[in-house]
Amino acid sequence: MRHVIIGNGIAGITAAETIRLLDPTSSITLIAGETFPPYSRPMLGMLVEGAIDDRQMILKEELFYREFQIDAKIGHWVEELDVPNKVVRTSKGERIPFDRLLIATGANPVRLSVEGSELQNIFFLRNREDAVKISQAAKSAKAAVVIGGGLVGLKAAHALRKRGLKVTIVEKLSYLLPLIADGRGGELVQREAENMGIEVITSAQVSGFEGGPRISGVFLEGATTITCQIVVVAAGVRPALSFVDPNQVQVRNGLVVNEFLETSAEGIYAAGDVAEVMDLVRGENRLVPIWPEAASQGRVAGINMVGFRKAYEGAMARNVLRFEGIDLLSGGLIGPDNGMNLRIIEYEDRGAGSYRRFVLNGDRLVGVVMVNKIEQGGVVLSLIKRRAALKIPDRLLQSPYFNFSQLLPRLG
Amino acid sequence: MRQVIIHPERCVGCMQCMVACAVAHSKSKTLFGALQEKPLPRPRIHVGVGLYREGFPNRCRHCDPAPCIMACLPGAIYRNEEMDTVLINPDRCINCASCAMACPFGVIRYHEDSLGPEGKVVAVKCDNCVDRQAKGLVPACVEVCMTNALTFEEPDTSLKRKTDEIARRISVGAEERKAETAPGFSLLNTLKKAQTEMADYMV
Repeated sequence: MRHVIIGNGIAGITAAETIRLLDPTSSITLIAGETFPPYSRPMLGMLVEGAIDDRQMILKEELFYREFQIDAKIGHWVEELDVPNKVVRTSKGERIPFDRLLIATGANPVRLSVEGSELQNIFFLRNREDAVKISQAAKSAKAAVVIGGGLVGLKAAHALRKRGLKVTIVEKLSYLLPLIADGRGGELVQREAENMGIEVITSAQVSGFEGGPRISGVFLEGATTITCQIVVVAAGVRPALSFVDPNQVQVRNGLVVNEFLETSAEGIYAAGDVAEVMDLVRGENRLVPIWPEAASQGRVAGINMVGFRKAYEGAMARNVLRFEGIDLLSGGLIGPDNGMNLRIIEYEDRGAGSYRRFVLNGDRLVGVVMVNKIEQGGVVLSLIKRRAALKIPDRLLQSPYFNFSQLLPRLG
Repeated sequence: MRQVIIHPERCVGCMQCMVACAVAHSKSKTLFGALQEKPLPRPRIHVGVGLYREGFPNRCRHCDPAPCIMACLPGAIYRNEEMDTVLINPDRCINCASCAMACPFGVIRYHEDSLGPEGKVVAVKCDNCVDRQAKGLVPACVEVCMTNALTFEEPDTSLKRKTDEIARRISVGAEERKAETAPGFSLLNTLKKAQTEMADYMV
């Protein structure tokens, strides 16, 4: 059996490892565009900050490929996928045939289509190269603008602020972290950002960039201009699918997969940010581009590629952010959502600086936002994931003393 | 391999295991020494309050496969196969709290650890007292537990005891049944339950 994996992100390497553990003899080819050894993408913010050097991000040393007998095509980008003939063609002109293929190409940052977006010193924060470029540019810069107040935007802003730059975050919606927090959660994070000297502008759209050849300012709609020498665009990501012909493999927002993570084309699997998987909470296929799910999808895809049948249990959106003095953990449906009749419980303890929001659908917990005191977050998330009926009173969830034992069958 | 097994019905919530754990993970390994140390050693086992104020000693289950290992961003959490124990490398840990999202039991805490790098906040959890076990000692929480709510034994042995207990309960008359748990435990738990219900009623 010839296994080919495209991508050496966490989904790709987890799949390669899984396949080798279950099948010592088949050939495994891993096609990796990035030349750096497999690393932990969520740590890029720390690299920009200078808190770590790039070797500290490495998850698998160069030896990994040899140890697992993986034929690694480093520096090859896949340009074409020929589904009927089961061959991929890479940027270096190689044609690699496969019996089982895993597409784990991840996602690319969304580009802004406004005037001046080709200027120098406009960056993304997606891979190691981006982080290195930002660090280089930050050495001689005084001010930076981060476009997008999501997780990546906040990490970039935090890192640049730590390096002593004047930083402004521009967010389209009315609060920070719109995808992973509710309004109050976003507000608390914004307050923390402002405390560390980051300026946050919400409900604002970027209308263009000025400068030449380097960026010197960002125009906002409404005629405001922010002077800066660096821009980081963190406006979300889109699946990296340029080589896939939608007539040969079903594509919606990403590659649509079944419960075994197989695409519409037999023998071709997808995992990670590129795959549209079953969302456990919403009960529909969608993109859930988070790191831990990419890792578990890589594992499940690997098991299925070897020939065992293992269903993927489904993805649950969840994130955690430590931002200076504040911690935010969230998962599931943050709500409100039109399709469901949701009940929302909010609780804030200003003395302890903690805030919790629980979203319930009937007697089932479907979403959570926790600000500070997040140690029990995993217990709450596992309740959401298991879709179990909540048998304890709401007030216990809100208590700082909430713990696992309260979910056990009652004594006596 | 012997493991720490929790018998929640026997826990009286005295929290001696927490103290013993903190001491076992201090530099001095003595209670009085530990109290002088900076940072103050903290427990890796946590007695949680149940629905009826009953105690529950909550500690790492050393799951296999372990969700925290899968979720760890810098690859700091690993399994020591020999000891069947999930361990955290504090030098690699970046305190990102990804393991807080992953652990369904909520057993991981984040603070500077007396045995970890100085001045660095890291994820800390039960290490099955691997250092003590290497010296032939049982885990500190088990050693100190007065009520046998924590035992250190083969899971099979523990399971067999429970199975036998149930078998005896259903196969002979109740009066012949030798109590496996001292009656004091059920009395205590019944009292706690009654008190809690009364308190709830008053509210």
